[in-house]
Formats: sequence, structure tokens, C-alpha cells
Amino acid sequence: MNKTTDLLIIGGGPAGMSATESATELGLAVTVIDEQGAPGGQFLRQPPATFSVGRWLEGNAYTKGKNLLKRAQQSPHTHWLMNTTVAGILPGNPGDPHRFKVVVDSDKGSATLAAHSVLVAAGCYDLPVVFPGWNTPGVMAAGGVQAFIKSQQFVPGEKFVLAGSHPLQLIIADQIVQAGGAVAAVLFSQSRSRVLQLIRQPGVAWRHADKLIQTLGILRRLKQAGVPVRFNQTVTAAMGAARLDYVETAAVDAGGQLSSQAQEPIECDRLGVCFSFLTSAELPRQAGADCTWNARRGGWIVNHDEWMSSSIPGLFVAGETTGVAGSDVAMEEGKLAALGCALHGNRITAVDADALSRPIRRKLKHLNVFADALSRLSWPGDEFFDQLMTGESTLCKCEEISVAHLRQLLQQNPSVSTSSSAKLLSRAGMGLCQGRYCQYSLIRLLAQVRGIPAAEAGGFTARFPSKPLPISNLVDMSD
Amino acid sequence: MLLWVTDMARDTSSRIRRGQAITLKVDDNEVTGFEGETIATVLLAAGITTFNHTPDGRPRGPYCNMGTCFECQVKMAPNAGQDHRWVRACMAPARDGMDIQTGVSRVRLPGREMKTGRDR
Repeated sequence: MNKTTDLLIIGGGPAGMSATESATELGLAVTVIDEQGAPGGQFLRQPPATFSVGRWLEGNAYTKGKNLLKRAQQSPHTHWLMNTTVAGILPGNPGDPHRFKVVVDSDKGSATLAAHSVLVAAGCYDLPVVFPGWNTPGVMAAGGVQAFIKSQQFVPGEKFVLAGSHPLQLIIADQIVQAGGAVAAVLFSQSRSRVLQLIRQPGVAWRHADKLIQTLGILRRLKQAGVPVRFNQTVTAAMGAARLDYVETAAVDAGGQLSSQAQEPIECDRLGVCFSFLTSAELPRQAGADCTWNARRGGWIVNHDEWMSSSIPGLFVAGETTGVAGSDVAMEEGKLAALGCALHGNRITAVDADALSRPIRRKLKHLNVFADALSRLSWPGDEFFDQLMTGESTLCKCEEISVAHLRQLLQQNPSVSTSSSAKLLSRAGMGLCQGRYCQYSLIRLLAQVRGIPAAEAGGFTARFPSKPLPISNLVDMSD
Repeated sequence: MLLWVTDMARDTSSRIRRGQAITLKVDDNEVTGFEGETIATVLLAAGITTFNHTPDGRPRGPYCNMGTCFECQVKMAPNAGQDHRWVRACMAPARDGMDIQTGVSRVRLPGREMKTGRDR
């Protein structure tokens, strides 16, 4: 294993692959680390090498990414470190030519790598939405359902319900049906006109005609398959003792208010929750990079300059970590970050970097218009989630702490008004997921109970290791 | 508990060829999977939905399917007779001869009970 490298990229998805391609072209030695067994990220989650899958991820939406994946995998200049988790980034002494020490862990144990620059392209994960029964076996992040289909060629249920506000759930419903599954309903919390507004956005539609044509095709196919797509409705509870039996639903008015009137429950054994995403920003946060909280764009957004450099010189970010905007934006940001790394390492002149960056910046400008419109139309608002988060719901799933219990603790301890102090008080955020699945809801609860803006509640301190690992691996680390 | 292998959830279209058939011991049953499948896929295809129990006794199964939520943990020994350890079923590939325990209760370490008490 190469222990030192010019550029260490964390995440082999669209941003990471694109950065790798550009950086190796610029002459940098690159190592890419990813937890999965093969590059592609969640967007192009590959089938296992032992499978042979004809017509994998057909459709225009995947063509560009699949071409990039093919080129990236054939590149002789990239060192891929797969099935490997990054436990932490230690920024070290700025004078050190390989200042960044990155601790990695795999089934071979833990090790430290050194790099001149680090690019965090760690992507995002589905926003965990807290409601009664959200931890019942059968309830999943919609992205997790999709990964079973994309990668494992496996339909994880007999009768699906998808509930959310993000158009991605239409694509997932379509993929379930095409793989032979049955979808009982797709529920959008917002109105039909709000979902269709995206298609009619002036200036957006003509530039992104391929995406819109795809959406219309999906709606037609779902109709043919008899899948009801309902608007102004959402799931309010997942019911079942040992496993999901049915979901309770409620109407949502134009202002995002849930109706208290009970609706007919929907029988299903798998619910996919598809509202929004949170960035995987733990590593830059743990390294000390400045971030800004923006729930709609993915929670913690890593601040960056025009070369995708974070507030720590040499630590770069690209893709969803800079605000969730999808794979097209991620690929362009990856290219830009590669130029930034080359510039940082004096591998390219400022004039050349500037010239090379110009077409990328032009593309990004257009793509971001679409990404921002998508984000605005699909975000139901913090107050929408507040209504789902009833007292009986589990707020911290790892430590099993209910919303009501935490609310009571906050009332008994009026001085507690930050995530970190609420964590010390309650253990919320101390479990195996390290707060990834309660951070957003805890911030919302603090905002509600204390009447403060989310930014004031702040986040949990991101600590080493970023994911749990056996302490024996760290003890055994030779260096 | 009666277990059966169902292909209902595996996409069986002709464009897909899976890896070689493998056999795992899951609790006290033999379960068939295919090389390349994750433990999560093998278990769900066998009709198992409870992967572990929380310290308070609640059933849990896969949620994120990408290694971040830790809800799908099961106890795994590479071969029968070896020590079991917790693994994320969505990240760990199933291998022939593996011995899996599902539904095991995660323990809360002593001293982790809060003085403030816990609901339920």
C-alpha cells in the first residue's frame, strides 16, 4: 500500500471519480478510499463482481456517470483502496509536505496514510425522518431500497409504499416495478402543481429536457403498472409489532399542515422514506473545517472557496458535502477540486488553472440553477417534520430516547440549549451511528423548545473515529 | 422457526446471473445465498426481518443499506465453531460456511443507564 500520496480522495462516487480523472491527468499521484467494494458511490452502486447484469442502470440519467465509471476503473494511475473506512483526518503541521495523516480501517486492520492534499467527496445519506414506528423493521431510507435494486438485484419487500417530497421516489418506484416488485402507493407531501412546477420552471426546463422527459416517462409507466401517485399526503406512523404491517397516512394542506383526520391505512411490508438528504460532513468537521448549517441543502455544508478548498489549506471538498445538488454538479465540482489541488501543490500555473476552470464554472452555473430549483420544490420545511416528530417517536434510535423524554429533560434543564449539552444530558447522539440519525431532529427539538434558530443549537462535536472500529485495530497499528 | 428460501425478492430476469450458490448457517437453519450477496440480502430473501434487538428489546432491521445507520447488525462467525462478532449485514458479503446469529440483543454497557431514567 502506498503510504504517502499527493492527493487522497475520500469517496469514489461521481465527485471522487471525476476528481481522480482530472488530477491524474494533471500528474498527481492519487489514492481513492471508499467503504464500498467498487467505485461508483451510491449513485452508481455497482453489482458485485460475481454477478453478471445485462442492461445495468439503463436510461440517459446514468449514461454520463457510467462512462466516467468505466474510464475511472481503467485508469492505471489511480490507487483504489476499497472496503475501507476513514476513521479520521489529522491536519498536522502546515510545513510538512505530507501534512495530512488519514487513519483508515478495513478488515486488514487500521493504518495511517499521509497526503499532501485531501479531498472529501463523501456524499450524503437519506435524511432520517422521525415519526412513530420509524425504526420498525421494514421501514427504510428510500436510498437503501434503491441500493438493493441497483447493486444486489434484489427487491426487498412484497408491497412497497414510498413517502416523501423528493422526485427521486418516482425513479425508485419505477425501478421497483421494473425489477418485479409491487408498489401500493407513492405519496408526495406537497401538491401536484408544486411537483410539476419543476417541469415548468422557465430557464430550467429547456436546459434539462432529458431529465424532464425521463420523469414524464416514469409517470406514464407507473400509471400503466397501476401505481397510485398521490399528492398532499404523507405517512404519519409505521405500524407493526415485529415488522411493518401497514402505514398510517394523513392529508397535508397547501401550507404543509397535517390534517388530524385519520385516513385509510395502507398495507405494506416495506416503506421507503424519501424527503431529503444530509451531507456526510463528519470528516471535514472533525478536521476542523468551517461549516454552515442549512437543513434544506443537507445540514452541515462545508464552506469552500472558488477552488473547492475548505477553511483548512489543502483540505478540499466536492459533491454533496458542499450542499446536496446531485451527481452532475458533483462531477463538475470534482474537476474543479482537482484543479484546486494541483494549484495548491504548484503543479499548474494560476493562469492555466483559470483557463481550465472556465468551462467547468459555466456548466456549474447552469446545473446549480436546476439543483436549487429541485431543492426548493422538494423541501417540505422544518415545520413539516416537527409535526411528524410526536412525543412517542424515538428521537435517538441507538440510545432509545423518545422525543417526549428528551423534551421533558430539556424542560427540567433550562440551561441546556445546544446539541452538545443535550447529548451530555441525555445520551442522545452517543450510539453507534454517532448522531448521524438524530442530529437533525435534536436540532429541531431544541429550536422548538428554546425558540432559537437551528444554527444556535449547533451540532454534535465531530470526533475521531468517525465510525466505530475495534479498539484492538488501533492498538495494533504499527505506526 | 421454519425458514424457506424464496426467490420472490431476487430479480430473476434472464439478464441477471448471480454468483455461485453458497450455504450459510443462520441461527439453526441452512440458508442458501449467492456469492456476491450481502448478508442483508441473504437474510431478507430468507424472510428474516429482525436482524437484532435493542437493549430495550425492540426489533431492528436494515435502514440505510449503506453502512451509516448500524441498524442491520448481526453476529457473524466466518465458520461454525469460530467466535461471533457484530458486523453490518449491509456491508458484509455473505460467504459459504458463515454462521450468522440474528435477533441477538445488543447490550447496554454497565454504567450507561442514565440517572435521569429512561422512558418505557
